[in-house]
Amino acid sequence: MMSEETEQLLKELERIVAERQDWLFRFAYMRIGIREDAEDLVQEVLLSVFRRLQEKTQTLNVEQYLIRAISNACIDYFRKKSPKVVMLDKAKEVTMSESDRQIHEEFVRVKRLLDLLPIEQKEIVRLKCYDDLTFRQIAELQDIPEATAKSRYRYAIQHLQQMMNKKGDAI
Amino acid sequence: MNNNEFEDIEQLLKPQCEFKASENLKQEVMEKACQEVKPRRIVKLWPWLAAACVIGFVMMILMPPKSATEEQPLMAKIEPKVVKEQPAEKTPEPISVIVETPKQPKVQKSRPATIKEEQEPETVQMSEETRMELLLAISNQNNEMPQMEEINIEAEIRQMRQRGELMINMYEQNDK
Repeated sequence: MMSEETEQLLKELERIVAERQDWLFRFAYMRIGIREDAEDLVQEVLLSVFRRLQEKTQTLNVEQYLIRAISNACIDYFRKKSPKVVMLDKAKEVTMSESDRQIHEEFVRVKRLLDLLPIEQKEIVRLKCYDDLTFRQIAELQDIPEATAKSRYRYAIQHLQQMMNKKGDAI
Repeated sequence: MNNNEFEDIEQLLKPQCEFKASENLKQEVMEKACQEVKPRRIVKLWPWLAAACVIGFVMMILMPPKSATEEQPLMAKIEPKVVKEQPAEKTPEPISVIVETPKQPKVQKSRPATIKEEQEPETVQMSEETRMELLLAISNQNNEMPQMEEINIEAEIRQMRQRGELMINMYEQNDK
């Protein structure tokens, strides 16, 4: 028998899953490039949210917690399985399903664009453009001032523009 | 760089397709969450483990060492049996004792003295102990012989009868 409190927690979790699972999946997939692994990370993150809700130690900012949790989960994933994912060509081989071809092509396209940028700018562009985070959220997640996040983003876009112009001239 | 170019780059970096997680992702998450919520039945194993350890320890202490149990029968075979030839027990030969019934000195005046047929002596089988006692009694009797002349014959007869009864009693007791 479940208590009313537990049932409420499960309903809350169900709501969070329904609202945020696609966003979390996109976040993870755009960094990993493998559907199964990205979904595993999403599952872990959602269950960790549920555990936090059960603890009730402090009022939980679910949105903030989700962003940080999925970001940390991706970092941990790369620490454990970096050789499998770093190589772009291998990532294509790993993808088996035909239905996933479209999202995988998107992953490859963005990755190629961002590979032109320095590491610290790359993540900010991804968070801003692809994950739709505000500069404030990006600053909190990266532990940097908001102004720094803004300037890095601007430099990144300018850098991309220059690289694309160079390519266009070369062609 | 003008604003249009900036926006074009931004647009280029935005997602071009929709990302959908698997349909069963939500179901799996909810199932796992329910499992975490369900109270787990805690089976206490440690008392059983402790009991098993104690039993094992006691068995190790109480059981004889394996080497001893194996060697014991061998030892029994190797040990030469020293058979002492015991002399066959001599069955005590039946001692035939002739008990003479004391003659009663009856003087029959009317009849002439006739020689009575000698009564057949009773043969009694006696043990060694009884035999010794008998011999002792006889020797005592022999020692007393010189005095017999002085003793009244009736007293002597009485004494003889008593001895005879005593011997019969002893014999009966031995039989029992």
